[in-house]
Amino acid sequence: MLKLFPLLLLLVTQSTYSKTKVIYKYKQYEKFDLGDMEVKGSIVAPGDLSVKERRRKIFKREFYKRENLKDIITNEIKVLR
Amino acid sequence: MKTLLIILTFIATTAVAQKVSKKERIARDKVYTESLKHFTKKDYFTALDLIARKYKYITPDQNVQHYIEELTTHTGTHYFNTYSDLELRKLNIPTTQLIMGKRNFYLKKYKHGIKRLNTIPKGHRLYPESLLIKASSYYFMNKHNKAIETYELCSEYALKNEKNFKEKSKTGRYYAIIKESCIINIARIHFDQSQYSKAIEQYDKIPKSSFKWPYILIEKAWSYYYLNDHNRSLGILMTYDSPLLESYFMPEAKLLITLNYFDLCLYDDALNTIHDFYNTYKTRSETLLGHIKSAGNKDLYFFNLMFSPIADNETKNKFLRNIVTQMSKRLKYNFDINSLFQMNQEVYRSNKTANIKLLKNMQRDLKEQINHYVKRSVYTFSNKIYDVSKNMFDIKLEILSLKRDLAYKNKTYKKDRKRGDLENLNIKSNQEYWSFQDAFWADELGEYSFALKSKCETQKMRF
Repeated sequence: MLKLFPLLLLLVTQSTYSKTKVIYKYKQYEKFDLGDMEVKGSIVAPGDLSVKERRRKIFKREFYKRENLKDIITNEIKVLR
Repeated sequence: MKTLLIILTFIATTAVAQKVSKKERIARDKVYTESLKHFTKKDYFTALDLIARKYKYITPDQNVQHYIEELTTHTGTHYFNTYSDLELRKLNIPTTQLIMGKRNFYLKKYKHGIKRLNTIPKGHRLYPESLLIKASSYYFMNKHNKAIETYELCSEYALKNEKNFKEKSKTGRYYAIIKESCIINIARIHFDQSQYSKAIEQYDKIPKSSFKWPYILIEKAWSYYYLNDHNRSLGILMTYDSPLLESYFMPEAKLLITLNYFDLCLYDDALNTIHDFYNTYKTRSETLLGHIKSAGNKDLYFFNLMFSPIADNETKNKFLRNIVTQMSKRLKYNFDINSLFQMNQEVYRSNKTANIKLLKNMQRDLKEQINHYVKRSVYTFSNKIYDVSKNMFDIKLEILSLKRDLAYKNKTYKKDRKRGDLENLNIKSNQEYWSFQDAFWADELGEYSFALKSKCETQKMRF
């Protein structure tokens, strides 16, 4: 009898749960008609819907430039005599 | 009693001191007369060594000071190069003051240097050189007006001294070089202050026959570059391609050519120059470095290089030949070689009184100095090539990225322009124009100009 008890318990619980039917409802797809939409206010150019271009960072390499000629002056004194 | 004792001890010490100085004076007189004997026999190096050794730690009297000065006019100043500052200070003669002034200048101790140089009298043969170093010290201390004033004074005194010597004599050339250096250095100050037109005016004062003229062409080209006269800058740099200036190869000139083309947006020309540099000059420089690394450790290798035939040096490496040619024209080298030959004369005059061992040592010392000087020049040149190639690589990358950006924008540089047009030429009222006919004429050198139009304007690409 003790061996049959868990089996009976399992059958009772299964029968009680199968009675409640769960229905899952998903949110319906929402539609927008952009052409039908109205925006209040005055229209400023540009007329079409546009996206402003992002300013790009321009990388520039620094080239060698002669700023002064001090190294030549020192060297000339060294090799004078 | 106490005061009496003090007076007595003072008298006693001065008496002893006088006795020592008397002994010392006799010894000094002996050395002086011995040195003078060598002087009369024209054994200048032996004479200088004798007297300088005696006065290494004692200040000589005026008579001996004049005598040492006279000796250095024959031997040159290289004898004192190994002296410490303390020893030089003891001698207290204009020659040693100049050496100390120079040392302080290299150490960037300009105030100390000027203090030493101020002791050199106006009539002294080294006065113009002292003014050159003094003016340079002022310039490095950012005292530009004072530097220009001193450079002007320097060129004036150098000209006065130059007139006393023959034009082609070594001493005459020495003063001419000082005079021109002072004129050029004024131009360099203007360059530093971004007054490029003033700098060009100053550079134009140097005659084409001058030893320094090939070296200032690149500085003039930089000035025109900063004035945005790229055509003139390119023209000046073209002078280095003339056969007459073949041995004056300057790596920096190639870099400036590339920068000029870059600023004119002539990217293909810039890339060609870079390509040419990598293919010809960089590989040649690498073989030069390989050669000197394998042979440079030989005893006095660079000194001996100066005496090997030009054809031999050319087969070893073309740059090596160019460096040797440039070095042989330098005044320092000529002065040192002159001293070496004079020592030789003293050794082989079969003069019994000459100190042969000393002379041989002095000769060896001078040879090592020349060897070091040549070696340094070769390595400096090689390093310069390396620096320039690094900068060339940066320009190449920039050109490639600019070309890529244009391709993305569907644009191209305008191609319908002529390669050269008189319109693009900047001719001053005092200048005349002839077209270049593939020949370098001596009087035209340094006066060339390109007539290229900038291609920086872009247009939409048509497919």
